[in-house]
This record gives sequence, structure tokens and C-alpha cells, in this order.
Amino acid sequence: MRKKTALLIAAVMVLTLVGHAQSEKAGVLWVDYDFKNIPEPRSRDIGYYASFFNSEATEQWKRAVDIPRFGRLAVGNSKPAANVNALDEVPDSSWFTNRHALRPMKVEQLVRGPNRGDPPDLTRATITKAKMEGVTPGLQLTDTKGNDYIIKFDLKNYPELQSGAEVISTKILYAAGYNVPENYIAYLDPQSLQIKEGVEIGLGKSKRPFTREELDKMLQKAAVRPDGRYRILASKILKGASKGPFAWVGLRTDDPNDLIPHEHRRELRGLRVIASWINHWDLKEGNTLDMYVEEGGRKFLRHYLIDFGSTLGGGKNPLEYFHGREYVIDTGNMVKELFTLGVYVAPDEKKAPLIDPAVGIFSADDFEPGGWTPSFHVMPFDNMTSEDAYWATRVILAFSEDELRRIIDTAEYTDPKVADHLFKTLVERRQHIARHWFRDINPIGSFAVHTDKDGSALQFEDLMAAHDLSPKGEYRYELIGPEGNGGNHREKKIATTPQIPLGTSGQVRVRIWATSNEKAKPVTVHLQTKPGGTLGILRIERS
Amino acid sequence: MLMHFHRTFLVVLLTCTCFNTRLHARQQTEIPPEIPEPGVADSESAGAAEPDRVVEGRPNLYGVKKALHPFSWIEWGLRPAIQGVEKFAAGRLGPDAENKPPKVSGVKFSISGVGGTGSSSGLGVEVRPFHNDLFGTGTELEVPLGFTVRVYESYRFRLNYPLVRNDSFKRLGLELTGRYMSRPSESFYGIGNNSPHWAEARFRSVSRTAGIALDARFNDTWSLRVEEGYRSIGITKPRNHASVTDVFQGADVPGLSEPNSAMLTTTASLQRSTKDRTNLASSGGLQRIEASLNDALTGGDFSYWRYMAEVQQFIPLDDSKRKVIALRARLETTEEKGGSVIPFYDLPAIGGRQTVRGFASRRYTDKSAVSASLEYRYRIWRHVDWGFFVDTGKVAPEIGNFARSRFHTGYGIRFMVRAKGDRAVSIDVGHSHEALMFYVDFTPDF
Repeated sequence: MRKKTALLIAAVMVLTLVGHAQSEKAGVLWVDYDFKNIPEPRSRDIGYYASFFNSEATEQWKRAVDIPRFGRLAVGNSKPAANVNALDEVPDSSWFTNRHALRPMKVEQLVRGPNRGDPPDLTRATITKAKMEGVTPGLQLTDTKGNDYIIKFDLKNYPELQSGAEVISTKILYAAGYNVPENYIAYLDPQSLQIKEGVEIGLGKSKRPFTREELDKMLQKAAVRPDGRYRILASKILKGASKGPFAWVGLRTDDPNDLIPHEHRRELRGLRVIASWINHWDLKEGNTLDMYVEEGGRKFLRHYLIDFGSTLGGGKNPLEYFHGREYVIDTGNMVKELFTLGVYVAPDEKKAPLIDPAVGIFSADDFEPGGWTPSFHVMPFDNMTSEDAYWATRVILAFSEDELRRIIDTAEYTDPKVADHLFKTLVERRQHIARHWFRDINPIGSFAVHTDKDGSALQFEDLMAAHDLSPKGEYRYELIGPEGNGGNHREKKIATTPQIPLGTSGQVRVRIWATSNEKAKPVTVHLQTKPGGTLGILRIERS
Repeated sequence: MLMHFHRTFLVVLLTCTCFNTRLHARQQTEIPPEIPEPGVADSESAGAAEPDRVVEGRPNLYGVKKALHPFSWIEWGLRPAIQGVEKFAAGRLGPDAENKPPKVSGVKFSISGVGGTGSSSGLGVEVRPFHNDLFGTGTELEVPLGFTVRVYESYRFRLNYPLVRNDSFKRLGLELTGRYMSRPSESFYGIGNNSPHWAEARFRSVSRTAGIALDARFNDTWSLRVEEGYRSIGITKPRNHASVTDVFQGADVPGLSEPNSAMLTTTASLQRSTKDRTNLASSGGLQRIEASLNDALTGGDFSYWRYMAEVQQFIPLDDSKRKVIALRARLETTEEKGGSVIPFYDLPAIGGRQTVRGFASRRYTDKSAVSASLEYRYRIWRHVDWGFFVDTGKVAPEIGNFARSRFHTGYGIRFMVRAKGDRAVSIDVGHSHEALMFYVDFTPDF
């Protein structure tokens, strides 16, 4: 009998310890190693309408009958992001690389963004492909140096709008950590262009040879500069083999590296906040791309965001107000209009004045971060938790005003007022975002243990106070240490600065409340003595 | 034995503790490793942590749950069809299509409902070969061929040769028309504003029409048409319903005893249209008057004048034209010549899509009919409108017999879809004290 009891106890302990070990396994892991060699996957391109039906219909229906999700929402326990480490950060992966927020970049790096070479040399370029689809007509060409680019023109009545937006957003998204193509502003003299034999334009039955006349027809819709040249956005063709867009929901079955459902990836959930900042409303699956690349001797898929022409004030119809404010098919607003007999005024009905042809109607005046809506449903956005929002807000707060200004300058706007407006708008929108998403969450972060002759202290940053979004406050904290034989020792104190002295050694937990937002849950920082005797951060819990 | 067990127990405990400690020790990294540009793929060689994943594997049963979800089946089932349509429609939809000039010739396929073959025809398919510049002369030719699920048939042709085309006179065309139409089951309830619903009887009609017309389009607003037409009509019994010949007496219903007749019809119509689009207009209006003289060549003493006037007006309530009040009034009257009569199938009527939608097609018939509609439409989405309507109408032997009382009123709701160009669909649900009617209209001109 005693033997059985002892065996049972042993089994329970083993399971407990193994379980504990596994729960700690998602520890401070900084590289989620999804770069393993994989066989070449098939191209996944299900088409615009099938993708649209999937995101706007079936995934929405599935969500509407997802009873467990409603249960979790009812008890305030939304499913957390699956790819965060013990410090509540996103490890580097083929999807995301921690850049400016965790590893501050120099201004030169921010200004350069993903670009690794010189701008394209278009003195003797050859058109190799042509397309009329997308926001603006575009061409694929090979420049004098032999590099391939997709080039896009600015709309005739909106010079510099799309190209400027694309360059700025590319650099912001790159610094945030996403994989993006190299995008350059360049100037093109159409007379210098050659058309490669066999180039066609159009789809299906309307396919026809792309001729000089077609080029002229295309250029009639593009903005031309006083010197007769065209300002273009040149997007360098990505390295590797294109495998089609990635899905916002699910896993790629032919990619063994793809273990985390995309709807539960934090970088994709948090993209909602970043996208709202730059008004990246055109986030359909077609504006993502998986590339089968070879790096470091391994072949794997790298996941890109592409096509940022519909950011800031850009878009095919820059005066359309609803972008960023409602879905293309917004059943909620449709129901409101239906039952109010049309009295409810949906964003689709509203208008805003054109600020400048190079700006569109992009402003911070009526920006509501919580209500910002992409034109297409993006399931990771719907799954975003306050922790994801905190993470993303911290990412965008990493840009200093000077850095933002320098990034905007790379769009080479003719009128300095345009750059001024965009700078002011981005700063204001970011403040709105921070105020909104930090409303319900403890705004402290950037934890570090500082040790000197007086002992160790836990330092952190109050993001609201640091960005002048709230007055400097106090921090209530509780030190929970293993002192004494009778269990955990607790000390409750107040700190007037974002620094907490750690008087104890060994494993310690610190729970911290920001008095500026007492409603928010405390942040719990788990500390542990490192082999050298100093304290280190083991884990951070935000909820 | 007990000692042996204790030893084993301690070994297990120690092993677990060591395992746990090892894990913790391995994960003490606080500072993220530097990223070697251009990508983290090289971090392994740069001495970062040994390759590891943030999760052990894919979530349990993730793929199975997705595969078992009925909505996944719908998606997978429909995907090939959607992709097929996308492939088929490549170049017809999207920005590229917008840039294309309108087609000069081709074949159009459409769902043909009440528009092509009249109310109660049911849905069908219409195939319409067309050419808008035959032999380079500007001659328009179209041959709409329609067939519905209720076996209503309509085969037409129209050839319009331009006599005059210039800046001041948009087009004067000489037009030849022809049509074969078979309507297998038409309702007839008797004549008069009080004809009872229980008296419903049916008949089958087959008509063949040929005409020649002068069609003048002065500009985008005004048009005039004068037409001379020949029409042969045959009335027979329907297949599965009580026939009009069994329910009604020939003496009470003109034309009932002359099942086959041929008529010559001269028609003149003048139209002014300021509608912003032909279908589901949001502003402007339409005024139309028509007069025709009908004389039987064979089959009965049918000779009568027919006059019709229709007014539509669309009043936008806001600048964006998202909220619109739509009004429609229609008056139709006939007048016998001498002692002739008007066949029952040609009598003015109310009921159906173009008059009072809460009643069956041609529910009340008499020598004069008047109807009016009031509709409130509002946009609920960029391409979708919703509407509420009330229709009312009355028939009487003479216009002078119309009084304010005894109007037949119906009301209902309307779902409207506007596509690019002038394409539109409306689904109307009309209700009255005796019927609930559904209409699907692919050419909703009101």
C-alpha cells in the first residue's frame, strides 16, 4: 500500500516537474528557429476572389460559431499570442526580426531601411512585364545594372502621393521588424525605355501585346513632372522563388517550419496597431508574399509584407473616406444603416477635404485607434489582445521624432509642407494610439536589472510618462521572495521613480502597479540569481 | 524491497530536478543577440542559442479541427468555382476591364426574369447576340433569346439602321423588330375593380409580332418613336389550371370566344428621361406618353385606342444621393372605336411588378387603370440599397369613374444591388391582403 502511495506521489511529482519544465520551455528564447531546410513548397495563390470569400465569409462564419472563443471572452481570458518568449517579446524568426524597439537602430540604418544597394539606374531600362491591375498601373523592368524592379507610377492628380507613402511605410515597417522589399524613389524618362519582345498586357481574352502606344496610354494616367520625367516607386524583385501570399489564418501545410497558427502570431496581431498608425488599410492576403529563399546554406520560406501604396493617404481613390474606417463589406454598419432607415451615417458616406495632392486626406483629426479598420478582415487583428497591443505600441513609440522626420524626408517631397504635415500627423496618431492602448494595460516595460555597489535594482520605463502622455507617477510594488522558512516573504512599497531596489537574493518576484493607471493589472517580473551571483530576469507576466 | 523503492524514488526526483535546472540555466539569456545583417538566418553561425522553437510543434488536432469544420467544407467546395469564375472573368472585371472600350459586338448572357417575358414568368436565361456597328454602318442588331424555368419563351430581334446621326440630332433610326412569345399560364380574374380572387382562371397565349419603326433619339433626354406592327395572338387552354373558357362566359369577356386573331397596331410614344441611370435611378425623372390604335385584321371585332402616361421621379434627400424618394404614377386607358370591343388580354390592368406589387400579375383588369408608387430607398452599402414601398391602384371602365375610395393597396420591401455601369438587380417582396409576391428583376427601371 505504502509502495503504491509512494509511486503515485513520485508520478505526480515527475509530472509536475516535467510540466513545470515545459511551461518554462518558452523561456527567454530570442530566435524561434524556423529557418530549417525544407523542400521547395508549392506556390500558394488561391486568387483574389477565393481569398476574399475566405476572409470575408467563411472565416467570419467560423468565428461567429466559435463557442469556446465566446467563453474565453466572457471570462476576459482571450487566447494569448503563441510565439512570445518569457519576457513577452517576439523572438526573431522568418516572419519578424526585432529591430528598432529592442535593438535601437542608427538614423542611417532607419533611413536606409531594407535597401541594400543604390537606387535603380534607369538610363537604359527594359520593360519585361506590364500590368494594369492593382492600385496603379505598373511595369516590371530591368535596369542598366541588370537588376529587376517593379515600378509604379503616381496617379495623375496625386503626384508623389503613392510613391511617398510606400517609401515611408516600407521604412517604418522594416524598422518595426517586418520583412519588406527594397523600395526606391526614382525618376524615369519614358523615352529611355525599351520594351522587351513578347511583353503582354491584360488578362484572359483581353491579353494583348504591350506596345509603345499602350505605354503612352498608361503614362496618360500617371503624374508627370515639369521636366517631362515621371517619379516612380521602384520595388526591387525579392530574392528567391515566390510561393504566393501567406494566409492570415492557419498554417502552411507544406512548410514544416510553420508551427504557429498565423492568427496567433503576435507580430501579425500587433500589426493592427502599426497598420493603424500608417493607415495601411489594404491588407488583403495578396499584399503578403512567401519567398523560398536560400540563406546560410539553408532553404526555407521567408514571409514578406508587400505593396504599401495604400498607406498614409495613398490609394486608388485617395478621396475615399471609408478606408481605415470600415470593411469593404461591413455587416455591422450595414445593419446599423438598415435598422435606422439610413439615418446612421456610415464612414462610407462621409467626406474629408483634400489636404494636398501628395497627402490625400490622411490626418489625425478623426483617428480612433480602437475603431481603425482595415478594408479586409485580418483574423490576427481580430485576435489581438491588450498584451499584443502593448507590444506593438511600444514598437511604434521606439521612433524618436527626429528619426521619424528623417524617414519622412526619404520620400523626397517637393513641397516641405507635405513632409511637415505627415510628420505632425504621424506623431499625433501615435499619441492617440498610445493613449488608447495603454488605457487598460500597465504601461511599464523595458525591464533591466542594474547592479552596483549598493546592490541590485530593477529598472523599467513608464512609456506613458516617457512620451509625455501622462504626468510622472508613482509605482506601487510588492516584492515576493523566498526568505524565511514559513513561505514567501512579501514587502509592499511605493517607488517614486521607475526603479525598484532588490534587497533580496535568490528567486524573487516583483509585482508592480503604475499609480497613474490603478485599474490595470500589475506586471510581475520574475527574477533569479544567475551563475555569477547577479540577478537576472527570468520571466515577465502582464496578465 | 522498500529500500530499493526509496532509492528509485530519489533517483527519479534527482533526475527531474537536474532536468528542470538545466532548462532554466539554458534560458537565462537576457540580452538578445545582435542580428547579423541581412537576416537572422545566420544567427546560428554567429553563436546564438542552439536552434530551438518557441513551441514544441503544431497545436494538437489543429489541422483535424479545421478539416472537420463544416464551413471549411463550404470553402473548399466553392473554391474551384470561385477560381473558375475569376479565371473566366479575367479581363472582364477589375481595373483592366474599366479601361476597355465598350464592346461593339459579342454575346451577352444574363439571368432573364420578369423583364424579358413579363410577370410570373419565373427566372430564366437570356442569350443576346449583338452587334452595334453592323457592316460599319452604325446599324444595331440584337437577338435576345430568353427561356425561363416556367417554360416562358421570348425570342426577339431588333435591327436599327441609322438614317441620321449628327451633333444636333443624336440618332434617327429605321427599326425592324420581331418577336415570338409564349406564355403558358396567364391569370385572369374577370373584369372590374371587385373581381374576386377565387375566380382565378388561366390561359395560354402565343403571340408573334413584326414591326417597323422610326426611332428618333434627339439627345440623351428626348426620344420619339412611331411604329407600325402586326401581331397574331392565339389563346389556348393552360396545362394544369382551370381555363378561362371553363370559368367565364364568352359573352362577359370580350375576346374569349375568338381564340385566334391578328391585329395591326400603330403606336407613337414620346419620352423624356433625365434619370441619372436607366436602372435604379437616384435622381432625375422620366415622363412618357404613348398612344396606339389597334385594329383586328382577323379573328374578332377588335378596334380600339389605347393611351398610356407614366411619370417617374427620383428625389435625392442628400448630396450623395444615398437616400432617395422614388415616385411613380401610371395611367392607362382604352377607348373602343364604334361598336368594337377590346380583347380581355389587352385590357389595362393593375397588379404585378410595374403597378401594385402586392398583387398577382394583372390581378384587376378593366378599360382604364391607374396606379401609383411611393418608395423610400436608402443605401446600406456601397452597392446595395434597401427600400420600403407602398403601391396603390384601381381599375375602372372610364377615367371619370375613378374615385378616391376602393383603391387596392400593397406595400413591401425592396433589396437592390447596383453593379458597375448600369447593371442592377432588385428583389421586391410585395404584400397585400390577398397575396405575398416576390419579384426578381434584372432590369429594374424604377
